[in-house]
Amino acid sequence: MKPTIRVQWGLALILCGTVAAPPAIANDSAFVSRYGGNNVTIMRSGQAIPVRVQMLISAGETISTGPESFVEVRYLADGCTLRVASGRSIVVGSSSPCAASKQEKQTQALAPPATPAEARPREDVVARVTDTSGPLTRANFGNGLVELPTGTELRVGHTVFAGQSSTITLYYLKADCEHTVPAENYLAIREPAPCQKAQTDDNGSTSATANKDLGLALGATAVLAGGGALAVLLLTDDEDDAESPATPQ
Amino acid sequence: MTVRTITPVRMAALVPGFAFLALTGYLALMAAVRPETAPSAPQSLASLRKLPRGELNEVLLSARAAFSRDPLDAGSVVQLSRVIEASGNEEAAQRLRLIAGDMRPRDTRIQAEALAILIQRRDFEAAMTSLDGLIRVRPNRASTFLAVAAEIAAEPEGRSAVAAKLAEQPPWREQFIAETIRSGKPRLAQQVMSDLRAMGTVLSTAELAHLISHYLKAGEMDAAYGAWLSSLSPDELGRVKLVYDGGFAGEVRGLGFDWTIRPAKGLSYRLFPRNTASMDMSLQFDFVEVRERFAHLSQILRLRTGRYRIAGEARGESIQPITEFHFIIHCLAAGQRTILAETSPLPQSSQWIQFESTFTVPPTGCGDQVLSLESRKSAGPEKISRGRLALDAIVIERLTDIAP
Repeated sequence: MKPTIRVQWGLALILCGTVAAPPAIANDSAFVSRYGGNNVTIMRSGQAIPVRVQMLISAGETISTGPESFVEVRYLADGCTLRVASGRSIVVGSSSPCAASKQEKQTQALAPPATPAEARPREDVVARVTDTSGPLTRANFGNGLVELPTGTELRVGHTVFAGQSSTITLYYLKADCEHTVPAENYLAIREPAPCQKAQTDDNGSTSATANKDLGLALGATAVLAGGGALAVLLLTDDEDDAESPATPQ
Repeated sequence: MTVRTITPVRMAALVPGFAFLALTGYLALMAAVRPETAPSAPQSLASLRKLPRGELNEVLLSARAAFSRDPLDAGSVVQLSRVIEASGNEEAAQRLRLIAGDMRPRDTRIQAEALAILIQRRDFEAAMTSLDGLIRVRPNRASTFLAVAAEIAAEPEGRSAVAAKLAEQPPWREQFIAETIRSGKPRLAQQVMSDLRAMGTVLSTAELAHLISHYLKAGEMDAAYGAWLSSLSPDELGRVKLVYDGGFAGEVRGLGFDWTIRPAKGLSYRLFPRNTASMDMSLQFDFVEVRERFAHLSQILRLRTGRYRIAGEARGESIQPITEFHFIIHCLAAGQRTILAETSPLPQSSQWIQFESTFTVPPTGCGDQVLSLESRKSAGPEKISRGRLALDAIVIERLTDIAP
């Protein structure tokens, strides 16, 4: 084991030049080079652990940033650095995302959700929790309900529940789409995903059609509600016009 | 002084006079206690619109005169509103109709006209006040009015107005939830219930049962489970394990995913301290001439594929005739139950005795399960004459899969 560590350690030094990387074990592919804020965590053995500088990260582990936080992840293989902005999460892949283009060894802003090229999940992971809000976000991994932190990886058969005034945002890896579980809703993780990849039109608008549909639906509902009231009017017998005591049920 | 006697002939002549007096007196009295009705029924808007300008002006003058004579007569207010609308002043006509609505809270037709205006103006709060009044005075027509309330709730602004009214706990709240679900809008009912919870309103078990049983009957297990989870407090959510409330700490709500007890003649149950020195509760059944096979305690489970262990504690007292009780795990698929596994007969002793068993949930055809306490079918007549059975500490654990 030791020779491997020394080889990788040396390799990291060479490629990174000025940055000293910590000793690595075989499965480690990156380390935390910098972070800011108090809400940067790594999912390890099902638990969210606060990161520290030079913490080694294994392939498949998820790093998440909360509000007003960021983290920079440096790959051991080529020194490529990923900057994860606040409120994001990534799954660290086994190979560097910069490998294809070695000239671009610069800090990158990663837009949520991480694209499959950047985030290399374990094969059976179907979705990842990219955001939670509210006090009641729970998951069931097979042994009852437990708290659901951001960054959790979900597989088929896992379930999530957003309680009162809470929501859970999931990123489905294969479908490359986000799905929000609204308050007081329960979702079993299945395939295919309950969402589709957003279609962007020429103007960059993704939801204009949906909003139009919503507007029409609301308009139609208003008409319907008015119609309902009128239906009451039409159905009313003349005998109801006179005031009379209520009929007991 | 002369005394005149009333002869029968004179009496006969006076009778019509007395009758006339009585009639006029009655009419005068009625006029005093009851507002005078409008001289004629309000004309329809369509017929008024067909009138030539001159005639319409005459009708307008007449309506104004009737209104001036008795401004408290809602009929004259309605007639005036229609004439004014036919003349082209719709806003003034609507104002008058709303006034008429305030004057006649029990008049369905006038209220419905006011309601249509309020909805058109998107004044859903006032519309719900109007509907609340209508439902209370015309409960025989509640279904119709509740359907209108559901239509109002279909709009986000309307939904908050409906929830605000329901939060006041009107007597028709449960009926609204039930009818909205029955009319094919369970999601809408669920959203309104969610709004109510957000307002701090506690929903009744009956209200929750309408929604959950609807989803269960429709085979929408996830939706039913979500609705049930939503009914739990944060503390209760923390107790959601593979079997819910196996220690019988909470009430038996009968919502499917918690303990559900089907009533039977001669069967009673209570949550009772496990022993005198403890507040730890247990579930206790008392049997008195129960003339059907016992299968009355159940809970829906949502176990994933894998091996499990079920365990618990039981105590039986003087059960006659001797009856074997055991827990059965049924697979629930497409509304059909098939037996997956069953425990050995529960020990029957006056002491608490533990029982346990293992079972495996297969990868297919058993997505949901039902845990049910049942008596074993016997050849003889199904009857439990007397006795007591207590249960506690029911638990299901997932066992680590053994590598082949």
